[in-house]
Amino acid sequence: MKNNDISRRNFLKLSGAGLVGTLGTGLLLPGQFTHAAGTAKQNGSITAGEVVERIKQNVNIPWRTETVDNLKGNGNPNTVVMGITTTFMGTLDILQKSLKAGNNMIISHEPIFWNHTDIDEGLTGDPVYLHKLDFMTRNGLIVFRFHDHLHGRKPVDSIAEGWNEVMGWENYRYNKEKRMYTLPEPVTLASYAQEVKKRLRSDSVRVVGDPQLIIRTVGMGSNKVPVRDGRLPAADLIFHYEPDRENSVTEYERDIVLSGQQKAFISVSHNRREEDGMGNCARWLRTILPEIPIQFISSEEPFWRTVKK
Amino acid sequence: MAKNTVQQIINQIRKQLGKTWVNSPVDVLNTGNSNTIVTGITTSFSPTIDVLKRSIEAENNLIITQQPAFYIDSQAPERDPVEEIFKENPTYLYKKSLIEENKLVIWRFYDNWNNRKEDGQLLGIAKALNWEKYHLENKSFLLPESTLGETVLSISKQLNIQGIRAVGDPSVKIKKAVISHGMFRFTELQEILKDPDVTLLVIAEAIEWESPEYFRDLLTWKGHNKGMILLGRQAMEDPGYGEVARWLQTFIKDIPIEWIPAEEPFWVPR
Repeated sequence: MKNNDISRRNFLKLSGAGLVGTLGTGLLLPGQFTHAAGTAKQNGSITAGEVVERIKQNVNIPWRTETVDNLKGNGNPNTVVMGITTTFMGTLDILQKSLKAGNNMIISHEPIFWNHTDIDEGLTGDPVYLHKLDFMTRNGLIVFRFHDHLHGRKPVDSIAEGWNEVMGWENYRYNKEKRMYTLPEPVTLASYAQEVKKRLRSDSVRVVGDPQLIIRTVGMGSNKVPVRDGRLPAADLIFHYEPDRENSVTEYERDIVLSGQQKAFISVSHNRREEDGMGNCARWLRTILPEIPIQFISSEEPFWRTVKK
Repeated sequence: MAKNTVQQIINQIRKQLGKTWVNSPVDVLNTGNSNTIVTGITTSFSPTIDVLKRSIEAENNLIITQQPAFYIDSQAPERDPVEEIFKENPTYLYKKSLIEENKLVIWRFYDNWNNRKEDGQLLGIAKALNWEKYHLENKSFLLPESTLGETVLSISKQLNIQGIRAVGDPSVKIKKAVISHGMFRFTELQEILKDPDVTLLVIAEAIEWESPEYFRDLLTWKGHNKGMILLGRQAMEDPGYGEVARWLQTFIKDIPIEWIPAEEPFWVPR
């Protein structure tokens, strides 16, 4: 393996100066960097901290100072990474599966400790928190949250890309200005909702709208009540995850339909909207981290409805 | 027949509530004028366009609801008035015109209803579930033994809802259940789980990465010995507004009062 003589100190200085983040036709060739980071260790090994650095170098956007994208728990960034799991939610089940699979680094899109910053005084002394943290520490697991910059990365938001793949939207005609996709042929809302349920392998797809409404176009919308501009997205059928919240957004959508506007709305769980993007994330990471096995493990959505007899 | 204005009705409610009355910035008229003579009262979870149309048909011009007329908590201090926020919004304009043409008065009855000694929202859902006879104390119920899956089926049927969701193994045995209405708080989950006998939580709605995921992690750690059911906000809260109607009828005798449920906003694909 090539071993370029860029000392660790200089590497860190350059990353700090933001020069690394602006690679492309930038200052240094990507090849020199991806291998430079490993100078201090044995052949082929890379630490968790270096994995994070590699990600920072390759998102093609400046790394924010204020971000939730960092290492969680007591994980030591100097830990040599044997394998990486990517997933939507770093559940205890995912941590256990990762351990079994020999992946000691978990890249989770969402929080590990059930709130946005993963820091909460309310968790002090909480038994589930203590158990999960202990499990991570005891087993030397490193968890990195990859959220802000996975959405923000260029050329494309990995999460959105994953959704477009699983929904088949990437094959449909896209109107950039209206941000909507035209279905191959018009279908009823009832019929398309069934297709959505199958594609997302989800039991928690919830629909607002007339089941007989003909859907020609689909698109992503907001999970919040809009203020100021009352214009709805142009698509007939608008998707979003987890309404923020049902007493506001869902009631708004209900009234939109009741006012006679020919629109429909599908709420999917947060997990189903974004998890396929983490499969996409694994594929991308393999191109920038060829040294380690990287595996997508689905956390699956927590909800079900259908009771099998 | 005595003529009652909206203000007189609210005064009667205030009198009935006695010491528990609070001057809440939420419990205010969202539309209409307090001098309006009341011809009939509708109670509901939310003043949807459908609830308003049915009220018009029933000649109920005072609509008493948990939720606001226009989707957001307009009393939040930083908010501009709804007329400003939604001024070009076709849904708002349609609804506003329906309300004004029919001189509907929408009064939000939230903090004062919840401040009563008796938990009207809990009573409403317990009756709707047919669980009153199982009530233990506070928010807990001792149910006849069944599984989580059977409970999901029976609740869906009993409440006639499609959008129910569950967390946990369907085969888990359910006995002691806790109902928590409103937006479910993580701190409340932590509190409920201190009682090791609780086998089922029935909630309305939660932030998905908070309580449901914490609960899922708990089950992974301790094994599947509990379940959680999410009814949806409307399904949990609407029956309480049936209780509002019943309660109003005990002291407002000369005006027709009826609960017009908002009904479930969702359906689910088969």
